[in-house]
Amino acid sequence: MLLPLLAVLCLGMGFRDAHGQEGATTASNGVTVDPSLAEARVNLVFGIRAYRLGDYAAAAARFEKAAAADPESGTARLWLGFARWRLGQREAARMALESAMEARLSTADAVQAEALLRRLGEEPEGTVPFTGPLAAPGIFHFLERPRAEFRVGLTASADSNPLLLPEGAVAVLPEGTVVTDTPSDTALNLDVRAAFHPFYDRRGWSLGLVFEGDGVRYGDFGVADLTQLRGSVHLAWGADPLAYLPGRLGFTRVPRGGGRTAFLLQGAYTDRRIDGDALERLLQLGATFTVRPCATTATQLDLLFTDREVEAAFAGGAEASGTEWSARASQYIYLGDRSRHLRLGVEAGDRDAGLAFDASHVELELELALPLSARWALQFAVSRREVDYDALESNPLFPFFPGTLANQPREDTLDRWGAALLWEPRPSLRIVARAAHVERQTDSGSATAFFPLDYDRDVASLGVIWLF
Amino acid sequence: MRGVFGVLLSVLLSGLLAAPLAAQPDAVGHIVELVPQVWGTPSGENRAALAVDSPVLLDMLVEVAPRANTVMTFYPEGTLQLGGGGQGVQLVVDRARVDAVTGRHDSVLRVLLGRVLGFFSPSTDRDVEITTPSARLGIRGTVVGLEVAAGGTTVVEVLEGEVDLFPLAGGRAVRVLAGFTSVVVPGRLPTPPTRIDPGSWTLTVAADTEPFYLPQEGILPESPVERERSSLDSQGYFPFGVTALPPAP
Repeated sequence: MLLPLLAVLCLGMGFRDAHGQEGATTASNGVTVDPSLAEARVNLVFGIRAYRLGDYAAAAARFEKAAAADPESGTARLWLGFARWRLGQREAARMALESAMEARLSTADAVQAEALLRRLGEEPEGTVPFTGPLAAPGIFHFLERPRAEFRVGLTASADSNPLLLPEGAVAVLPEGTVVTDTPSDTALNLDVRAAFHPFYDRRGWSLGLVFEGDGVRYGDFGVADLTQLRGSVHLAWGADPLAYLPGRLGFTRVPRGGGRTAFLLQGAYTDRRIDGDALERLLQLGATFTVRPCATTATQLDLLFTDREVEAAFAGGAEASGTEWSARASQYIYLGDRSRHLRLGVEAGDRDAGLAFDASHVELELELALPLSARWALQFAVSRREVDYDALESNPLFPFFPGTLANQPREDTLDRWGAALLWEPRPSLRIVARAAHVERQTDSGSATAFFPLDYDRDVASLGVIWLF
Repeated sequence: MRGVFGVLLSVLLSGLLAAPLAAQPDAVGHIVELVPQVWGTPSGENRAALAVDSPVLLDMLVEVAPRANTVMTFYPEGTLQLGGGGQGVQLVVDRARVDAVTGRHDSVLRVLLGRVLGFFSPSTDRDVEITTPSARLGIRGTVVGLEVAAGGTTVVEVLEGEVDLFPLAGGRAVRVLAGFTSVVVPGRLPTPPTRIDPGSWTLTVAADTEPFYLPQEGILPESPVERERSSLDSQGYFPFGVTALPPAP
């Protein structure tokens, strides 16, 4: 069933080449030749050689040609800025660097551009250009494999239902406050991520060590404040066209490149706390296998094992600790290039815990990633998860009316959709606006009318992310 | 007398014919960037490590270690990227001449092993030929990638222009157009050209782009703990110590 579908996907869709042109050049109608790539690359390399020899005028002329041949690339403009600066042409240098920042530029190159721009701003007019050793901008990103990278994100959000309460429910907070209406709140979220890469491509293997921290603080409902700390290890084999491999426990960097297959082994330990009190600890192991049968599609298979230890106080006295298995299959369909994709996913899993929590689930996912331009991107995601609990103990009225009103195990349907708009004003800075809706419907048989667990939740947020 | 005249005439003619093909200076390029180790073995000399600004000489065996890379100029208006794979690269520039009359350049490269990506400026009048253990490539384009495996199998990818692919085993040449790839196994004919997978190494190197967004922005937007909360609220016992009562009738 799957193979004919893949064949259609592989044969039926066009693809863009390195210049973003449609790659559907056929033998019958000749060749679409765009000399910009060769012209840009040759002039860039010859310019760098001239720069290294100290012939900055010749270098600048080469970089100008390279920039003209590939207007979207900021690399030649960055080098042009350095060459102009060496020539004492400060204003021209500033213009070239600013133009580089507006074009396509790697994070490392952007740091170089920012550093020189800052220097130009600080140096008085007429300063003799620095003539000592200079860290030169990068040339090609395939030489770029960061050993360490950091990310800090700050997000403000409005949450229509942080306590996940059914409409009309009455809730008693720990301090005794009675909430009689579904309460909304605002929140501030701080997340940090530090990733270290001890080695890349050692016989095809790459290692990533990641430490993450995430804290949510609500304005009114401190009982919903959550802190999460996680350490994870990612051992990957293979390369990827976008230089990272995603897995169930996050992503890791790998060498940029192709190859039909890649896989990722992951392990993570997570500690979660609510309002300062321990909530749960998770030990997770994941494995991801990716197959890229052709240019237009890829298949990803994931396995995830979780050993969950939940503090009894947060499970209402029931045993929530236990183990979980889940398997997911995803089909990526690339829409013109690798960063524009549609992902269809199906997941099945089983949770083995106390009787109130024993359950199996099936989830369908659809995700669409749409880069709009060099600096804007839009993403949509929608999913439906159906959870079938195994035992009558899952019924909310079981403690009071076992076998009478509580006459069937609980069944949940969780629908979600979300959208995110990303803006990257500079390579080290991202602004993210998000909106999400979550809706749960619970069927507990006769108990449903007496103890509904349905809820709706809307979250809108605006965040800023720094990468360095 | 006629014999002497014949000898003089042949010497004169051979001189006239040979004159336009004046040899280029020995350096056929220079190293511009490298990730160690990269070595050069000039003809008749010992192997030495190359560094940035090292000249690459005619007939020099250039070797790039596994997982190393280098970028070099290739005169008059070209550049070569060597490496990017796990098996290293071996390359020799066998010929680099310029026709003194027409100004046309004539180059022959020999790739013995590994990945090479060549960029040749379209503004230069140039004939480039690349030989591998299984094929001879007539480069009629400006951006060409090839990979030679240890057994001699050659993968050719044409990004700009076109390539005439001649199998050394004999048989008809195959023309590979831009956006297409072909494979030559030693002793066999080239495979029919097929569309390049943009996930393959040459295009991704050439594309020279960083993913605009990392996958952490790709997840379904939600609170990071929402799923966990949902998994704990069985029996109406909500997390965070909140006791929920049924809605009022």
